[in-house]
Amino acid sequence: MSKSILRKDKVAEALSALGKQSVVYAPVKNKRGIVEYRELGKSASAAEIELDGKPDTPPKAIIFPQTEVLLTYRKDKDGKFEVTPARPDEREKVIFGVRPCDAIGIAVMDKVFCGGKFTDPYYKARREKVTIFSIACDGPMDSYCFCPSTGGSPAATEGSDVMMYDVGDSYYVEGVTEKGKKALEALKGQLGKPSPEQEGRKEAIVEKAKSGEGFTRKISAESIAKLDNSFDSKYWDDVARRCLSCGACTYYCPTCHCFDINDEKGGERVRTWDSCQFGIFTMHTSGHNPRAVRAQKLRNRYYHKFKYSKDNIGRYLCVGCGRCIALCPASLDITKAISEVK
Amino acid sequence: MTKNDYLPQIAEIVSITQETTGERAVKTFRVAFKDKNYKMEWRAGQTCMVSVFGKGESMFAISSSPTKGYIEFSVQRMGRVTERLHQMQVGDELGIRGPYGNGFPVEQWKGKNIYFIAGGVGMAPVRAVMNYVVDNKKDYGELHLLYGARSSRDLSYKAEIDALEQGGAIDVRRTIDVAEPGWLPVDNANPDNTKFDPSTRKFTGFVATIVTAMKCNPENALAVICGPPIMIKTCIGSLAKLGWKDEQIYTTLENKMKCGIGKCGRCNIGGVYVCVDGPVFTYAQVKKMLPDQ
Repeated sequence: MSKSILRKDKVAEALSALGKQSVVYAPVKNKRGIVEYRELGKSASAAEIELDGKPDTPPKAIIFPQTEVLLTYRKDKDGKFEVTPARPDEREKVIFGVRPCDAIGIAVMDKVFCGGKFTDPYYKARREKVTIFSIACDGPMDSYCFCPSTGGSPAATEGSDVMMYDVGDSYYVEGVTEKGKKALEALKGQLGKPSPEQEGRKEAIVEKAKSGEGFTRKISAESIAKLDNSFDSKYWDDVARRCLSCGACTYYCPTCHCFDINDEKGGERVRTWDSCQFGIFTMHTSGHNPRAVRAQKLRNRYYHKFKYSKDNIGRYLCVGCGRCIALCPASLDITKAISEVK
Repeated sequence: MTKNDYLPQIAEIVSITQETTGERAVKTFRVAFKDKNYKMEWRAGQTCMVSVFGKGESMFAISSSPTKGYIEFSVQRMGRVTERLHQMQVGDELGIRGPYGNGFPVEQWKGKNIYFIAGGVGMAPVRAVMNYVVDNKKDYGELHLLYGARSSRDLSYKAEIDALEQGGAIDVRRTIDVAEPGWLPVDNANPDNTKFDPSTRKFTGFVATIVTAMKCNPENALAVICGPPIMIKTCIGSLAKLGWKDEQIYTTLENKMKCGIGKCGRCNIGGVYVCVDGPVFTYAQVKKMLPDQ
């Protein structure tokens, strides 16, 4: 069953089958028309889910929630403390309909949270329970996409457990990892055998992906290499003049993982997403702030994406989804900034 | 579940020493883990995340040497966490996780003469490594301490350093910013013209001026500098003029931290994470970092 066909009119049935063993997440259009990943109910209706475009939000929050309790602390009547670690949600989960860029985003976060000297136990516990069903893109999904510039591709399989290819009235389905192949066993009733024509269409998607056809937005390897010598460029001041430090780029980024930890009233220590674009992100208690101005903050984000992470985890911390460009209220464009810096 | 590095151990404050007074007072807190079976091993220069429950966590250098068998943190009253910490009493409980970071490479330093150079509360990590070296004195060469603060009242660990000095363990020179009786003023504007009388132990002037006046000798030596950024910079300048190489100069850096384990993404200087890659660096390493400060 490692290569099979799932007819589109059987997707709802397949999701229900997956839902018997796992919680299933898929892109769903909310009331404001934004497509974001949602936990599906027991009986998923095909009308609910939006598998055709790039979701407006990455699936990051399913594995790395925007807010999570790390531990609780309680003080008894003698003033003695007891600390209890929170248990992360360890239910089996399927994320269905992920785009390759977002799946790579999860693979990149794996390197951050589970690589190096320390492993983040909360992230790891959730991650181990997640199976990712991705849909290859047939070329760029919109004009913001630039995955080939970041080592990705519209049909990249990195980070995905199951790959699906849109071959018309069906998805061509292929298990990538052992976890993925195992998940497909639950879909025996919904999967069929691919026809030679469907095989051909799938191959065409893969070939097109390899060629990088259709992408107009790019960052060249030469531009990235230039970063080594443009740290002190005045260009960063010019770019940052438009930035509002709103942090939208970081919140919608599939790989931005910076977080804050705070003690809340009621005895909870809470981890929340943070943004390197915020004013006090790096501010010392003394008031000294090593990255005090916008140019420094923005430059740090770009360098973290394309230089520091390459040096530290061997991979860009950008997957070319283009959401930061699409959603920036000041029309800042990471591809333009890195291409134009002198 | 994987080892949970976010989970602090409960520790009780067993003693508090008021090192300095005033708005920016420094207190040294000695702590003991409630779980008597819990042992923390650390190297001088390593740090811990200290929880003041309800206020949050802050990263502090362990200011006691591992040779002492007790754990101390010397904390300046500065923000939310430290304000509350300064109100705490013996018997109150904290959370502690760590140790984090690399610590000083004391094994590599064997046989060397060492200049410990500290300014203000920067003495805290220097105290840890200085005491480690003093307690293993047979392994090391001549030892010097140059310690500067705003005024004589702002010098920490007074009794301890006096005892080391009187016992002949280490040559100690102190300096303050504003003249007080008995503290010899030196000429900050012309450090090269400053006459250095080896019998003078108390100066008024910048630490960097004393470094120049003392003619700290780079031969078979290394320097450990910690203090405010401007003091570190000027002292490195003084040492360079005396022929010191970048590799001979060690410093310990700090930055805002939340996780301590290289994940939260804010303590980086360029691609270097102070929490896991540091906080101890040679000046040669610091120079290679992007000018991201």
